[in-house]
Amino acid sequence: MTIGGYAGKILRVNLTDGSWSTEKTSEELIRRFLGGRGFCAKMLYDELEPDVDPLGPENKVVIAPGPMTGLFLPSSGKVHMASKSPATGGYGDSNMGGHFGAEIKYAGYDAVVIEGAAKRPCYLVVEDDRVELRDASTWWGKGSFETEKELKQRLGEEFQIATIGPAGENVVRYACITHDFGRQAGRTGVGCVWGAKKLKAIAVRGTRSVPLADVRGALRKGRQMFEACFSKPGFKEWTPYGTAGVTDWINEIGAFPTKNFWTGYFEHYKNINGQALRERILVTDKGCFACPTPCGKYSRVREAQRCCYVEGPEYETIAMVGGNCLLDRIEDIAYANYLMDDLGIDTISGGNVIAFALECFEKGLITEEEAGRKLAFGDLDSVLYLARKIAYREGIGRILADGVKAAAERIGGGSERFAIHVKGLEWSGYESRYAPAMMLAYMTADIGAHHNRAWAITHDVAVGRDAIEGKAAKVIELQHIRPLFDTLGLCRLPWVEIGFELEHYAEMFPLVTGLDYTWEDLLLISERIWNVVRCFNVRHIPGFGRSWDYPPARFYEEPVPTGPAKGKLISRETLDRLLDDYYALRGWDKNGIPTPDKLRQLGLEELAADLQRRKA
Amino acid sequence: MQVTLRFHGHAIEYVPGGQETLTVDVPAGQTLRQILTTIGIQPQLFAAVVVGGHRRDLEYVPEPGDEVMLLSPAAGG
Repeated sequence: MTIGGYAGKILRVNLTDGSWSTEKTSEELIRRFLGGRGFCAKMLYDELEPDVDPLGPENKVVIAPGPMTGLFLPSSGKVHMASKSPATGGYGDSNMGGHFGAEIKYAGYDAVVIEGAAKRPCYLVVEDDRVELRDASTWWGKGSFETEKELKQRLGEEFQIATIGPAGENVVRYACITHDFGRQAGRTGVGCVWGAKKLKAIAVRGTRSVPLADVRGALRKGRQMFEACFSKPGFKEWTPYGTAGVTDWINEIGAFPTKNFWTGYFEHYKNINGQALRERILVTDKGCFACPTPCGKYSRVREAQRCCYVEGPEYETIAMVGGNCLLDRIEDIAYANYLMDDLGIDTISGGNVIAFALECFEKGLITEEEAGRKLAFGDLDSVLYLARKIAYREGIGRILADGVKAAAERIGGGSERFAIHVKGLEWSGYESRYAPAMMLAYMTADIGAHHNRAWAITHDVAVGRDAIEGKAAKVIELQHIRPLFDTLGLCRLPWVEIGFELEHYAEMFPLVTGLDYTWEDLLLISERIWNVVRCFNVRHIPGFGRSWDYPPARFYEEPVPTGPAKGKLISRETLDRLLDDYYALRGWDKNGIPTPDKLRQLGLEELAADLQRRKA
Repeated sequence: MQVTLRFHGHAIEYVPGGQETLTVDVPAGQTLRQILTTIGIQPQLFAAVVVGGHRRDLEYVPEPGDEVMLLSPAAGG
């Protein structure tokens, strides 16, 4: 049986010897793991030995669109990128929009696997069946934007290009990958792995179609989905501000990361919100492949010596580079956004690390001599200076480039209590001391402290922010729905933004694939993938378990000092209770390890056997 | 007087009965915040209010026959 929605092949490229090969996309892999994030998780689990160095040639990068990527339905432009993370030592992935994923499908591939490591800088060109590694010395050292622009000029506008910047080349552990001049696979340092492999860029062009199980049915449903999106009354209200539009609300509920998560309210937030962006720097909206509700905001900063075009800033950058570093002008945040994108630094981890450094300086844990200059919160020059130092691993940047967890271990002096991370991944844009479900979402997110696995903060607001009962169940529900989008190759924002119904996707899936999976079947696969990732971490991180799921001491020992959440903190006992509830509902033991029964129930007998072998 | 409330986005799941639209009888002079609280919906759930194409906030006092659009906060990747 041919399953629709798949290109049919997986491409493997070995950078060590320059060889490449293709293999048929396994039907079993499709039926059990669907694609995108599911392919990434299972392939990395199966193919990486536990002692693999994230920066070594044995590490692999899996780049996988999903079965719905590139098809005629709303927001189908997503692609997943994963590797063993240099930021955490566990499973790491990041999801990216733009047009790259669709182009991979059109070139004929359900995944591209990068193996080995090149001796010299290289870039990969894929044009349907033509696969070629070329010398990238010309671009090594150049920024992401210049590299993409010049590669487009050389190869042709129709190529879709993803590239790293100097931060990736210098193996900054939270380096990102940039595509389409502003879309990033930002988290967990996949860009760092590219840099360690001396892979500067990938350029893809495809001219093929993707087979569908029911072409007429899928076209009819796709059209209906677009029409349903356009007719949503929230449609016109969402687009003008994009994710930046949530800045006010987050401040009003006291959850805006401010001054390295010291507090949850930034008094100048109206100067950096969606309205400020729209009125002062916006040029145009910018959407990804097949997106009816473009969240991208293309902006222009026109200030002396700081002129730039940049896609953004979106909410996460406003939070992490703005509030968290106390930058109180949208123009300043946009410029820092531009610089960090060009250098190839994830603005979430980057903003978090820089705020950590500023607090260390303020507390005297980093001296002026060590820093190379005076540093201060609210000072754009300090932020830009540190971003450059990090990207080139110079001076204090050598320590900061390894992330807040490693930096706190080096700097000492109690700095680990305000090194804001889980599992070594820097926390993103929601201060959660007065939001237990969101706190638990961060604690248990499979890649470390990332918000997008379970954006549970509205649940906290809706059912009571002091309540604990039922929070773990909600987090788990969201942890299955949200990553399912990453598995199918779709953007979840139409659902989040304008209330686009999940039923649409359930109806579309069998039309595309021919598989008679219900939505519940798809959620079960999402749970299976979640457990594969947990097992990956058990397998790869020595001593991994419950202790890796706690937030830093700031969140359970320091009450929020200002704003709507003033006086709130989340006690250690509450954190224990949340984790107990969560593990019990997941069918994991009290140390947070999936039980053999649970794994067998999910059809993961091979993982159950693997974990039991290791235990013995 | 009657006011129509139209809810948008994922916060609908916290509206009684998961309804997208509610028409309610309310005393004149009440703010949206008061109206939502009275019918058992947490006002802070909504990030934006639009009435007749104009942005308002939760302190807005609806007029008879107003159709009020309440938008969920949207971000979260």
